[in-house]
Formats: sequence, C-alpha cells, structure tokens
Amino acid sequence: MVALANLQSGEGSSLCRALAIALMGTTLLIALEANAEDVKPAELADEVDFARDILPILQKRCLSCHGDKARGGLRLTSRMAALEGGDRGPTLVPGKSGESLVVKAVTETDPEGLFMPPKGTKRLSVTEVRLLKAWIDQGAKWPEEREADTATEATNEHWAFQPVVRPSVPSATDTWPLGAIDRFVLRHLSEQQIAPSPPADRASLARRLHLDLTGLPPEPSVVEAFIANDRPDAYDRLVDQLLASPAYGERWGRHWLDSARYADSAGHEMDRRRPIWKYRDWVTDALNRDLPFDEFTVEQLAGDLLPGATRTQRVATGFNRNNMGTGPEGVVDRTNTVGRVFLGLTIGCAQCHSHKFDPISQREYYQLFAFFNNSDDPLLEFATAEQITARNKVRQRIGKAKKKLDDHGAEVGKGIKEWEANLTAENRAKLDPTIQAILAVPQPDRTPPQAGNLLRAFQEMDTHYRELKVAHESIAKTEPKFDSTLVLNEREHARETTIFIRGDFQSHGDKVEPSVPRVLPPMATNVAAETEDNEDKKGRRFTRLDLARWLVQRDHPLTARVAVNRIWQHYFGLGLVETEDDFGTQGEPPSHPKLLDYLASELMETGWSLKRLHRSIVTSATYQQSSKARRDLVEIDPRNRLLARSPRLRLEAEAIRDQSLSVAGLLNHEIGGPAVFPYQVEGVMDGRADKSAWVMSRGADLYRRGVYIHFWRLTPHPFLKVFDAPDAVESCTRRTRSNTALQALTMLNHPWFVDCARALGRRVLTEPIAGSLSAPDERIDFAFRLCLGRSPTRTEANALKSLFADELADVDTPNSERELIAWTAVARALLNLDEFITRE
Amino acid sequence: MALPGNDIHARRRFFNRCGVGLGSIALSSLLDKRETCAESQTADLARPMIPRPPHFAPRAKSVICLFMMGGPSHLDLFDYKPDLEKYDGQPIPPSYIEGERFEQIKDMAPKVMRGPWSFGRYGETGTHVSELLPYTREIVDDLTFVRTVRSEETVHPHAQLLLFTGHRNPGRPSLGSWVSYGLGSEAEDLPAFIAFGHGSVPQAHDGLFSNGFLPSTYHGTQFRNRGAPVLNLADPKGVTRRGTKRVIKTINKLNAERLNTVGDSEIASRISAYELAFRLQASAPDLIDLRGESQATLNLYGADLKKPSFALDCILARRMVERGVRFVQLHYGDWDHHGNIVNAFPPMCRAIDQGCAALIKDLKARGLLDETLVIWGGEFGRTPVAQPQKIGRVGRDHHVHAFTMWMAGGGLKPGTSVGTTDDLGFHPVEDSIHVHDLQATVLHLLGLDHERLTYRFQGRDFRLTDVGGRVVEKLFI
Repeated sequence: MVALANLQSGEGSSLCRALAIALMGTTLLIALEANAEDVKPAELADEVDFARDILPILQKRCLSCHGDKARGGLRLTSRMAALEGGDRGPTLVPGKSGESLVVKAVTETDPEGLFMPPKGTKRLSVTEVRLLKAWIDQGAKWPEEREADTATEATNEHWAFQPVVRPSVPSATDTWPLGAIDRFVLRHLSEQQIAPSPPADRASLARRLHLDLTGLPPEPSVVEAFIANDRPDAYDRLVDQLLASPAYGERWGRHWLDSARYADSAGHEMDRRRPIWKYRDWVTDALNRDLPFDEFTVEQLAGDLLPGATRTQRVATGFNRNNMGTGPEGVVDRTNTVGRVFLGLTIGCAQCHSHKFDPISQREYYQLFAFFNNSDDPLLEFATAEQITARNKVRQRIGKAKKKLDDHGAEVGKGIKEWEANLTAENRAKLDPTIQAILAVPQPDRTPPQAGNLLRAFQEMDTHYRELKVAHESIAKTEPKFDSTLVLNEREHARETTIFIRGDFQSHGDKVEPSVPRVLPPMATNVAAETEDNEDKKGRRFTRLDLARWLVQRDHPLTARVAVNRIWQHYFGLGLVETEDDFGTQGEPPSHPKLLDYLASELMETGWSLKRLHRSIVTSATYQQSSKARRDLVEIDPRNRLLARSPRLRLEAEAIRDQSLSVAGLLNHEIGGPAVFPYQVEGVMDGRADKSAWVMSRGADLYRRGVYIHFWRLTPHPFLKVFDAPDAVESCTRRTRSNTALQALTMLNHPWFVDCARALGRRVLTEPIAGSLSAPDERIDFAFRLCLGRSPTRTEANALKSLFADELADVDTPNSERELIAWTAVARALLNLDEFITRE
Repeated sequence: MALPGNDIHARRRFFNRCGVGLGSIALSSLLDKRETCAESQTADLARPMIPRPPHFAPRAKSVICLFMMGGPSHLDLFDYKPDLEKYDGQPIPPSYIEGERFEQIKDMAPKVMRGPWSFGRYGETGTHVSELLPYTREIVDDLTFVRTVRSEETVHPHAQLLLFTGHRNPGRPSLGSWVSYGLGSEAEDLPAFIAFGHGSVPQAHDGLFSNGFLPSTYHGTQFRNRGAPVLNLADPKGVTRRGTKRVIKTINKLNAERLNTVGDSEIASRISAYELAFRLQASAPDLIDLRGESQATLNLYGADLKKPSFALDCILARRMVERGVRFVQLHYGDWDHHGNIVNAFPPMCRAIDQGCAALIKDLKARGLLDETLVIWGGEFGRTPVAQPQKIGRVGRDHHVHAFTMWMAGGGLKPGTSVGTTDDLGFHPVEDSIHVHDLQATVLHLLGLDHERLTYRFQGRDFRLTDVGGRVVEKLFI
C-alpha cells in the first residue's frame, strides 16, 4: 500500500499518464473498429469514481465469468482479489495501466491471444477502456464497502439483523393453550387447520422430562408417585425438582461443551493431555447455579478482563482454550467459534474473502479476529503464592541434582567406545538382551533411540552414576503438584493485526483494529475508556470484554435469538431456525418468527435466566404433546415444523450410557473432577505415542457419567464416535443422529453394556417385589418399568417371557445361575430397544 | 434369520415420509438449491446405505487403495533419474530449492543423493522399475503412473489428511466416506467402506477413514488385527450365537411392536440395523477366513496363512471387493526413511512387491480389474537430496512437489504415465497433479462429479476437493 501511495502523487503518477497516452493509439484503433459510441473525453479530466465508472463495467462485462465462477482462477470482486489475480497472475498494477493484465486483455487484437471479453462478445468501448486505464493510473481505488460484493443493501434488511422486538402474545381462542408459547404455536396450526396432539400419558411425560432435563431416567417409584399425584401443580413441582438437581448442569453442560469444542487433549500428532476439566466443571456449576446467560457469556469470553476477576471467572475463559490449532490458526478458531456459537453466523467464510452472502467483509472478519489476537495462553494453577515459591525452590534443587547427574554421565560416557571395543563375548552375554541386540547392529546403523539406550546402559554400570540417579529421582518426587487449568490472559501490548490475504497468515494486508461488523449495532461502551479516569485513555482500543458485553447488549439482534433457538432445538429436534448455526441470508428463516422473538426478549428481559427459559418451554402444552406420528400430518407437515406433536429423539451417546448404568443400578453420581477412563477394548489405543494414554479407572470411577470420559481428540472412545458425539475439532452446535449396525453391535456386545445387562439382570432377579415372587410376569413388568418408565403391553410382555423361558431351557448350568443368565438375556434385550435409547 | 413383521418394508415406505432423520434434512435442503443433484441424489438418509445412482456412467464400481504410509521414495522405485548418479554428493543448484523449507533437512546446501539401486525397463511399454520390485515389473503394462502428484503438507498427519479428506486438519469426511455417501452400498452383509492394515498406525489415526461431519454411518469400518475383526462383533463371554439370535429376535419383535404404535421410521431403520449387525457377525469372520483360498492363490501372493502380511491383506482386499465393498483402504508402512534408507528400504519393498502384483493379476484373472480401481501411493515422496544423520546413515526427507503414484483398472489407460519431473525429480515440468485433482479423478471414475457431491455443514456446502480439483482426463481410456 505504501508503494501505491507513492505512485498516486508526484512524478510517478504523471509518468504513468504519459505511458497511458502513449498506449492510447492502439486502443483507439480497436475501439473504433468495435464500437465508436459515446466518447466523452472531457469526463476523463476528473478523477474516476469506482462506483460510478468502473463497477458498471465490471458488472456488465467481467463478473459473469470472473465473479463467483472465477474462470481462470480470477475473481474481480474486490481489490484484493483483482490484485491477487488468477492463473495468469495479478490483473492490476495500481498506477500502471500499461503493465496491467486487464488492460492488455481488453485491448488485445489477436482473438487467439488473451482476448477479453471473449471472442463473440462485445468489445469494451473506447470510453470504457479509457476509464479503466485512468482508474488504474489513479491508483485503482476500490472503496471498501464495495468489497462485500454480493452483500447488497438488501442483506442488511435480513430478518436476523433486525432488533428483537417483543411481540404481543396472540389471544387465547381455545382451551388448549396453556401459555404464551402455545398461543404462538396454535396460531400457525390453526392457519393450516391442524389440531395439536393430545398430551403424552403421565408415564411418558415423566420419562421425557427426566431425560431432557437431567439425561437420566426416572426410578419406577418416581413415575408411580407422579402418576398418583393429582395435585394440579404436580407437573410443575417435578419440573422444579429436576431443574434443581445437579444432574441438570451435567446434562445441559454437555450440550454446551459441544459448542465449546471441549476435549481433554490437544489433538494433532502427539495429542497431548490438556488440563482443562476445571472449565468443564465450571460450566456444570454455572448452569446449576443458573448464572445468567449474559454473565455466562461474558465470563467465558473475557472473565480475565473483568474488574477484580475472581479465580472462577478466570477458569471460565477456558472456553477460548479449547481450540485445536495453535498460533494464528488458534485465533482463527476462536474467532469462528464466537461467530458460530453466539452470533450464529458463518463468519469463517470471510477469512479468505468477503462473505459471499452475508454483509461481512474480510476486513470486518479481521477486526473481530483482532479481539482475540491479543492474548497469552497461560496455565492457571490452583496454588497460593507461597506454595508456588516453595515449589520453585524444590525445582531448583531438582535442577541441581539433574545437572550433577548429567555432568557425571557425560564424563562416564566418554569411555563407551573403548568399552565396546574391548567387550569380551563372555561379558557381552551377561548384558540385557535388548542391549545385546543393539550391540549387534553396526555402529553407523544404530538409530538415535538405540544409541541412547546403549549409552544409558553403559552409564548405569558406574556406581556413582547410579547413586546420583537415585538422588535425583527421590528429590524429583518431592515436587508439589497442583490442580491446574488452561485460561486466557490479555497481553500488555496488543499484537498488530492485519488482514491475511486469502486467509494466508503469511500474506499481510491492511492493518486493522478490533471492531464489530457494521451490519450489527455498534458497541455501546468502551470499557477500557470507561474504567480509566485518564482523559487521554478515551478512544482506546476495544478489548475482548467490550466484545463480550456487546454480544449481550439489549439491542443485539443475534445472541439471544441464537441461544434460545439452540435450547429449543434440544427439545424439538430442530430449532425454530432450522439452520441453528446460520442465521445469515443463506440460513432457513424461522418457522415461528414471533415465538423466537418472544423467547429471546423474555430471556433478555427477565435477567437472562436459562432455568426460567427451560421451565417455560417444558411447562408448555406444546412440549407436553404426545410424540406419536400422525397420518394426517404426513403430507402437510412431514418434518413437524408446525409442532403439532412432540418429536421422538434418539438419545445422545452420553445419555445412552448414563441411562444404562442408571437402570442397572451401577451409576456413580459423583460430580466433577478429572476425567475418567472406563473400560476400553484392547487394541483401540494402539499406535498412540503415549502408551499410558488409557490406564483404566478403578472401582466406582468405571461407572461415572459419560461427560467425564476422557476425550482424546485423536482417538476418542469408539462408543462416543459410534453414537455421533462430536470430534471436538471445531465447535458443534447440533449433533447428527445416525442409526447404524455398529450401534447395534455396540449395544449388544460392548463390555459396558454387557456389564449393565448383567447388573440389571441381577437387579431384576433380586429386587424384592410385591406380588408373587415366583412369577416372572411381575419381574418382567418391573424390568420394563425400570427401563422404559411404563408397563409392557401384553404382546411385549409375552415376547420377553418367551425369551426368558427359552433361555432357561437352553442354558446348561446349575439352577442357581440359570435364572440370572436368563434375566441377563432379558436385560440385554431391553437395553437394546429403540425405545430405550429414545426420548419419546 | 427369520424376523417378525414382514410388512415392515411396506410400512417403512409410509413412515419414511412421516418422520425423517437429520441427514435427509440436510440432503433435501441441498436438493432445493442444486437442481443438478436432483436427478441422481434422491437418497433418503433414513436408509443411508441404499445403492444410489451416480451422477453419470461410472468406469469403476469399487476402489482398493494401497496406502503406503510414511511416503515411499519415488526416486528409488519408479521415477528414474540418471542425473542423481551424475551429481551424487554435489550440492543441489540453489535454483531448485529457492524458498524451499524441508521438513527435517537443515542444511542450506543439501547434497544430491543417488539411489543405491539399479533400474531396468520392463513390459512392452518399457517402463522404468527399480530392481527392488521384481514382481511389479511383471504388471507394469497394466499400470497407469502419475509421476507428478503434488501435496502441500510436509508433515505426516497433515499430508495424510489432505490426501484422504482434502484438508490438512481433521474433521472432514474422507474419500471413502464421500463415496459411500454418494453411492450407498452394494454389499448386503458388509460395510460399504472398510479400512485396515498392519505395521504402524497412521499418524492421522482414524482421521484417514473418518466420516467427518457426515452421519456416522459413513465412517469407515475398521477391521482389526486383534480379536474380532470388527469392534464389538464377538458375542459376550458365555453367550452363544444361538442366544444372541434369540435376543435380537426379541428386540426386533418389540421394536416392530413399537413401530406399530408410534409410527416412527427410525424404528424401521433400527430393525434393519440389527438385522445387518446379526449378518455381520457371520459375514465378517467369513470374510477374514482365508482357509478357502487355493494354494495356487496363496502362492501367487506369496502369502502364508500363519503369518500376517501385506500379501494376506491384499487377498482380504480382493475378497472385500468381491463381496461388494465399495471402498477398501489398506494401510501399510512405515516408509518414512529419513535415515538408513540403504538398509531399511529394501525390506519394505519386498514386503509389498509380490502382494501388489498378485492383486492386480488376481483381479484381472477374475474379471474384476475393469470395475475395480486400484491406487498405490503415499502421502508424499522423498527428496532427491540426502538427509544427513548425526548417528547412522543418511536417508531422504519428505518431498511434496512431485511424487509418483500408480493406479490400475477401473477405466484407466493401462501402460501409460502422466506427468514429468525435472532431471533431479524435484519439481514437475509437465502436468502437475494436486491431490485434489487426484480426488476429483477418483470420484469421476466412480461416476461422481466432485463439484456436485456436496454436504451442507455449518452453513456451507462442503466437498472433498474444497475449492480445487480438476479431473485428469488424460488418464482415461
């Protein structure tokens, strides 16, 4: 850009003009041949205006091929793209029309040469060519707002960029609607003359509510009590009770961790362990104490910048540390994650070029990027200053011991060649076989690890070396270890951020400062300026805290809508906006725009309480409808967008595991703490560099909830993958729900579920049950209610009874075990039912 | 196995339209916008593996990919360069390495290194092959060489991912997943996409056969070297196959009952999934049971039933293709010869040579080569310059600008080669072929247009070839 400025003034510029005039002769000739219309030389005296003079030429003559199609690799949609050029190199040399390829192309006389627009289409007029040249000679100015080429004025009018206005709730016209949500839903249903579904039966409702709010099934006694409870507020009380359960935070925390791309390792080749479970526990706890969503947002994005930030608030910034990439890639990931999670926009598209559909320019992308390009990535240790000092002292002593050991080792090592040369066959035979094997390899062919092992073996033959080694090891053991977690810290001096040309972090474009996209409301406050008394600090650089607070400004059109939509999606399978990660112009419009805005404004105006939002959804009649398919809806609303019923949803991986452990009576309800390593099939972790990556947990830790399973990015537990848990590479805002044979094999044969089937079989066999102990009917009923919350139909009961009977008849073991084996088979069948792994 | 509910299939048709899975939603949204897909991709992802017609007439039906992990030295196998001999030990002219960043070589003036092995010309085509591949010589006339494959990534996991998923980082679907998404499965009792192998584990791990953001149905099923061939395939301890059959029968009976009551097509899919799971318990062990292979076949491959080998894996690959598996991905390595190439390289060549050649001969003899595309190659090649070692002997570093892969069958022109490298085998001088081009070409041979095979994820239509990819038509008959 500096070079360009020079060209625009003084000699450079006049020199270019001279060149342009010299070239004019040839141009004129062709132009006369092709077209002699409207030559108005007078106009050229003025400065060429891109929008008035050049853009129409590009639009009429160039963009049909060199727009989105990018023929020849060339897009003439922004200055940067034109400068970058296509397969033939840069199109423009600002200030030098004579050297610009575009001028060559439009003035070429040989139709077989670089001849543009192509053969058979109209040539550029003389005026057009002159305007083009003059524009280039004047520096090829291309106003930035024209860069977001396809994002026109109209896209600013896009619904999602308009403020959230609280709509009036439609009046009740029926006895059905219980609350506001239902009235919005009913309005759409009545338009189509569809009646809502009847409410689900009490048993289904109890199971649905438990699974949705806590991810755990209800005990049969709880269901029975709920069915028997005829108080009018029985349902509301159950809702309150479940929202108050700590399992709620684990359940909804897991949903949030998907967006946060949470994992316990770094990914990439080494896939190192990451201490960040404190962040996971922060999420659980924040949801359980119903931390308002605005604070939830601010603490995660910028907790470290809050005045007097507490340790807990700093832990929350772990949200930003879950990225896999490092360096600029990590910053890109943090930027895109905020775009996807809070804005519900695909801003990542603008990383390499201005967004093709939404009004976000590449410059604006890097302005967002700049907020995140200013932090360090420290480890927060849960230790006092004194503890740290003490630890440092120990470390010094360890260092000294290590140095002594190494120095002596180096001294001893000098003798290795001589030793090897003089090694007798007899002495050699006394050595460790692995060392003998290394010695058998000729010296030059030994690999570095082989040579290293040999050296160590030699050193350890020295008595003093061994003593020093023991001394070092024993002191190393005394180093105090503290819990720690990854957090974010703002740097004292901001890094400079530039646009990365075509997204390449080695190609720097213009310098940019932190700011937010123009299509969205401006930041209301400059926190930095506000908190400084000093006048001259005003107008200081915006920080992450400003960004975070901006996201939850009342006039922000996206954050609340995106948040309520995601929560809605968990209850109804699809969000009100189906494209939950794209509220931009390419996304789907909301099915119930007013309901979306109602929920969003409720969230913002009632203190951003998520529990309140959950309560209002699950107490709606809409939520409580039956999930049975309806023939009358098959043609009209095959995908249940009108919400005339509740959906049936296959449970997520973790919920399937938790539920199985729960009905089997194995589940360990302990909350939080380091990740656990439940049973893993042999061979799954083969090929990892770290052989100790999966040391099985012991005892009750084998039966912790799924959210606590250690997640290695490179080798996630196969169970999680098979049931569509996200890979934590990027933020995931909606899981797929596949249905595969490998899932069937997993549920049938994976040791976890075999364990659960045995425990459930035993539970069914041994649980004291009212009624005749000898009759299997009672126990089948109990087992069924345990797993599905309801009693079996006669057909269902008969099927299980005959399985039980066949199994008893087939098993060839002593009586005492036969029954347990038969009940285990029944349990195995139940755990594999579609209904068991589905929330109905 | 006899299962209850014979009317399930009829009902499924009804219910499929009634409640649909997420996958079909993604696909239908795609159909609205891309009418070009409509004629071929009418897939209903409630039944994600149903065979689907390609975009246009395919040349190949299935693929066997012989992936040589680590990056074998093209210069010591196929890309014969007499100049390496001539300039051996001399610094490579700076013009070759301007702006070059080697993965490990730190030397600013690295020295040219001759291959220690001789080359001969073989077949009617007179193709150069190293003395290390005596069996491959015999099939050169069936092979199609691409001598100028180009990668962008010099580090193993990134280069492996770029080759298989079109992107350097994990998270994208791999080639086999895209293929099964696009075409469904022809195998009744086996997965459409199988990955296996032995030796080292790929540095990119499961990323090489991952479904990425596609539904997990499209994840490559890994056949294992230990225990049952597929994870969780074996019946639990103390449970007989008879017992499992009884349990599955009960499960499906109850599922059919529930389907009747609530009418959710997902239940019909679940019933099919359990049926397939049961069949897989028999078909997968049957697949890997090679006792039925004739002695003549074993001799052809040089395989010993008692010893795991690449050759046995090649027989397995053929058996998979015979049974309708769409995409077979066989991993073998380690070819990462940074040092001691002179000693470490020949055994690797011996390990694969006979198996590769036998596979081609065997497929041909069985009439399968025409419809099977075989691809051989690594994630990159190796440098014409030496990588010195502090301890031990020299090797070659990673090389991404041009390296050799060969392909065979599946509508390719046999006995040809595409692309030429310079006299040192460093840069391409003709027809540089990016891995995206290779991917576009493989999809094309299977009847899929790489620009139309897309999946909407996070608000964007993704494809295997990202924003690149040209079909290399020169390779076709």
